[in-house]
Amino acid sequence: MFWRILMQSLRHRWKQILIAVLAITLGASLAAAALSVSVGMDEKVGRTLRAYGANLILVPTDASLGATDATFKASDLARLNETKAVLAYAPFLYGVVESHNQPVVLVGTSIDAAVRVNSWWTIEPGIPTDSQAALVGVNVAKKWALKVSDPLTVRFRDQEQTFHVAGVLTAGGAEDDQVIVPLAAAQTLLGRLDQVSLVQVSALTSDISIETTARALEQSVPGAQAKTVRQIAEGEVTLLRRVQLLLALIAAIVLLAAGLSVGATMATVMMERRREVALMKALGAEARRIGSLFLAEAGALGVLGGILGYVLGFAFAQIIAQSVFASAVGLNLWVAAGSLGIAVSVAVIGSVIPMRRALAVESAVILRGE
Amino acid sequence: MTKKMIEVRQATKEYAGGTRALDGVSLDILQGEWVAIMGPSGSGKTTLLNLLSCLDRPTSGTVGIDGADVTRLAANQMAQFRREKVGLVFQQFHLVPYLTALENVMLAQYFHSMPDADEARHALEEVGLGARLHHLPSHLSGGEQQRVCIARALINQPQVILADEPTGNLDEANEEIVLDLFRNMHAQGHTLVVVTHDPTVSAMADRTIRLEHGRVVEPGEAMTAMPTGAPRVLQQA
Repeated sequence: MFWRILMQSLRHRWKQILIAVLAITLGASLAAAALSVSVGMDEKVGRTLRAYGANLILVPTDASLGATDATFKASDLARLNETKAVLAYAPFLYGVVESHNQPVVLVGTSIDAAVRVNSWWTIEPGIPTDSQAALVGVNVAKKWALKVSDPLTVRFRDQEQTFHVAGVLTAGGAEDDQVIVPLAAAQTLLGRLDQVSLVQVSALTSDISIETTARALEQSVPGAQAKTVRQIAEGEVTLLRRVQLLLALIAAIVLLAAGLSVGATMATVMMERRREVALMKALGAEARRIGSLFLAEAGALGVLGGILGYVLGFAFAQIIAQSVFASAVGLNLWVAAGSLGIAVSVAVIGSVIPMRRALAVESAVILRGE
Repeated sequence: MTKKMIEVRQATKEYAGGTRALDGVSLDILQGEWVAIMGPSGSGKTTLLNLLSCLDRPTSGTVGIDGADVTRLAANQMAQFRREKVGLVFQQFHLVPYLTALENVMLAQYFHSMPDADEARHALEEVGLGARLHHLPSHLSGGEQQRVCIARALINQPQVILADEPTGNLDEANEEIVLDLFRNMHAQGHTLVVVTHDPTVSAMADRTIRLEHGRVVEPGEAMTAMPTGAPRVLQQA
C-alpha cells in the first residue's frame, strides 16, 4: 500500500514535481561532473604525464645533465621500485664511440623501459629484444645508409663490437643522432660495469608532490641527484586542482539552489496537501507514518534527479575532460553512487521543513474547510 | 442496562481570542444508540464532534469513550484511539484525490493494520459501489463519494461512527441511499453520532441533542435499552 500511495501520488502531480526534479537533476549533474572530473582526471593526469614522458631525472651528484664521465651504480636502481609514486624508469649510460670513422654517441639502456618513459619514440619496424641489437637514430641511419639487419661496428679505445641494426628510431630529439644498444653491452664496451649516467623516471604526481618523490629518490639511490621536469608536472596538477575547485564551488551553489527549489516546490505541494495530511491524521495515522510517506516521495524525486543528473553530469565531465585535458573520463560506480546520494540528500533535506509544517496542521480545522 | 459508550462531563472549548465554542457540555450516549446533534450554526455541534473523534481536546472537562478518558491521551495514543474506535463520515467526503475508491478504503486499513483488497471490495459492494471500485473520486458523483467515505469509515469495524452533515451535499435520491446505510449501521449495533441540520436525518435518530451557544438546551432522553428498528424522535427542528 505504501508503494501504491507513493506511485499514485507522484503520477498525480508529475507536472508540479517536474520542476523539483529538474532542479535536482541540474544540481546532481554538476556534482557528478565535478566528481567524475576529480576522480577520472587524477588518474588521467598521471597517464597524461606518462604520455609526456619522464618527469624526473636522476643524475650523479655534481654532474651536469648529459655528462658522460660521472656515473652511479646501476645495482642501486632496484630501490626505485620500492618508491610508491614511480610508474616506470629507464637507466641510460652514455659514451662516445667511433663508427664509420666518425664519433657517435652510444647509449646503453633497457630498450623496453626507455620506450615506456619516452612514449613518443617511433621505432621501425619494432622494439628489438636480443642483446646484440642496436637502434640507430633516424639521422644516423640516413648518414650511414643503414637498413634493418645491417651490421654496425663500433669502436671504443681498443675494444670493438659489432651489433646488427634492429630498428630505426625517430624521437625528434638528440636520440635521432645516437646509437642505442642494450645497457649490459654498452657497459661492457665502455668498461663501465654496473654504472649508469642518468635515469629517466616517470612518477605519478596527483597524490604525492613531485618534490617529495624527488627527495625520496635521492635517498634511495646513493650519489644521485633528482631533477624535476617542472613545467609539465606542476602545470597539469595545478590546472586539475583549479578545475576541481571551480566545479566543486559551482556544484555547491547549484545544489544549494536545487535544495531551495525543492523546498519551495514541496512547500507549495504540501500547502495543497494539507487536507490530505489532515485526513490521514483523522484516519488515525501517526505523524511519523505520514512523514515517511512524504519523505519517500522526496526521496523518489531525489533518485530520479540523481540518475538523470549523473547521466548529464557524465556528459559534462566528458566535455570538460576533452576540452581541458584532451582526455576522456570513464564510468565510475562510486561517482554514480555519490551523485545519487547527494541528489537524494538535497531532495529530502529540502522537504523536511515544508513537511514538518504540513504535519503540524490541525485536522479539525482543515477538515472543516477553514 | 446498556453501557455508556460516550460520557462528556463539563466539556468547555475556548479558542484563541476568547471564543467559547462549547460551554460546560455534559452528555451520555449509550452503546448502539443513534444520536442526532442539531443546533444553529456556531452552536458548537462540529466542535463537540471533534472532541468525540479525538481530533481536538477540550479546554476543560472530560470526554470518555468506551470507558477511557481521551482528554488524557498523548497525540499518538489519540491517533491510535481514532483508528481503532472511531469511523468518520464528512460532509465534504475528504477522499484522497489520486487514489481510487478501492484504494481510499484500503488507506484506512493501511493506517489501522493491514490493507486487504478483498475486504475493501466487499465493503464497497455493501454500499452499492461494486462497479466503481477503480474510479477516482473525481469520476464519482457526490453520493458515490459519500458512500466511499462510509465504506472507509466502516472498514475497520469501529464501535462509534461520527458523521458531520453526511447528507449536507447530497441530492434527495442520494440522501435516501446514505440514510439507508446509516440505518444498516444502526441495526448492526454501531453507536452513531450524526451532526445535522436536516430534520429528516434527525427524525431517524433514537434521540436528538440540541445545542445553542455551546450549551445543551435539549439533551433528549437517554435510552436504557436499545430497541432496534424503532427509532424514537425526541426533538425535531
